[in-house]
Amino acid sequence: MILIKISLNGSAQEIPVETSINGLFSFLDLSDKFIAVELNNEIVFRANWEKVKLIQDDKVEIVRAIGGG
Amino acid sequence: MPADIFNIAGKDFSSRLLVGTGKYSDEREAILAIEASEAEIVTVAVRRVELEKNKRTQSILNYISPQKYTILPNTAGCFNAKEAIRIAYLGREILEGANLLKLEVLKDKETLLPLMDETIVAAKTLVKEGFEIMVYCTDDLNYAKELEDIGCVAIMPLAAPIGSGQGIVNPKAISSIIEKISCPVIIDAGIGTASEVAIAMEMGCDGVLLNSAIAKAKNPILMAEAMKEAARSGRKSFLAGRMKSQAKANPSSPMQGIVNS
Repeated sequence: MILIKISLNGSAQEIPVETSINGLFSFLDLSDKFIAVELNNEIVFRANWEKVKLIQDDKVEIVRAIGGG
Repeated sequence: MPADIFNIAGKDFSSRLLVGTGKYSDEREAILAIEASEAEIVTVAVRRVELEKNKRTQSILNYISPQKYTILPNTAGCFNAKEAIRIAYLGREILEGANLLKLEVLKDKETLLPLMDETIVAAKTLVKEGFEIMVYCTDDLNYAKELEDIGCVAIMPLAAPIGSGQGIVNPKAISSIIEKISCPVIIDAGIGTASEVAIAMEMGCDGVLLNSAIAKAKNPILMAEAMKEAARSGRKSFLAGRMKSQAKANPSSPMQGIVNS
């Protein structure tokens, strides 16, 4: 399996080549409910999560809601 | 009494108490306290997902449901307009396009006071982008007016610094905002106990937003109930119109017909 390196929430992460955003959730075993994703500082809308394939050195942020005031 | 409806961004609410979801000791306590408060608008923060499996927790929106509550994502932890705008978009995406947002841009980590110039810059952009923003601000009337002119849906001056529980430190400034601003004015931050909620409502605030005062009480669920009742009581008192304060005593029982020897 060919791996590429991306930055995920500020840390280095290796993932299989040709991984989509949806694929990233499966790879990380992460629920995609109530989640937002940024790729290289731009939001990737949910409708495009299957279409967008990650490449070497991509900067990905996965965020969610937590308790706050 | 006719129905006393509280309208924010075109939506009617019956509760004038808005609550945060932070600082609770666990999920159960948060759920029970928020239920007891009967708040309908509930704030959340936007943060990175925990990637390490053993540190993961379920999303707060699994138990504080957007179907039950109007979720108000905040931009807490942002120190300039650019960061706040970025978080606003992420919050909207998490909530599948909901435009309501609590905008806060802070001066520094120590005081947590609003940084108004950056708040105004962010507010202008976000309103243009279709967000309905409720804005955490200082108690300075000039900024409040500017935010109203920009098209914010609520002006939210602090009573006292975030998490300080000092109560309304500058009631005259808050009163002048209430008097001069026609969009909803909501006290945000600094409330410590129920009587302070009642005072804010009696002054004519449209609502009160608080978090620590419930979450950090010895019994958060009981305090949530107290806050709910204080908001209602203060609002009724405001609508009823208080009697004039007088220098002299004035007997409540007639002075005629007193039985004396």
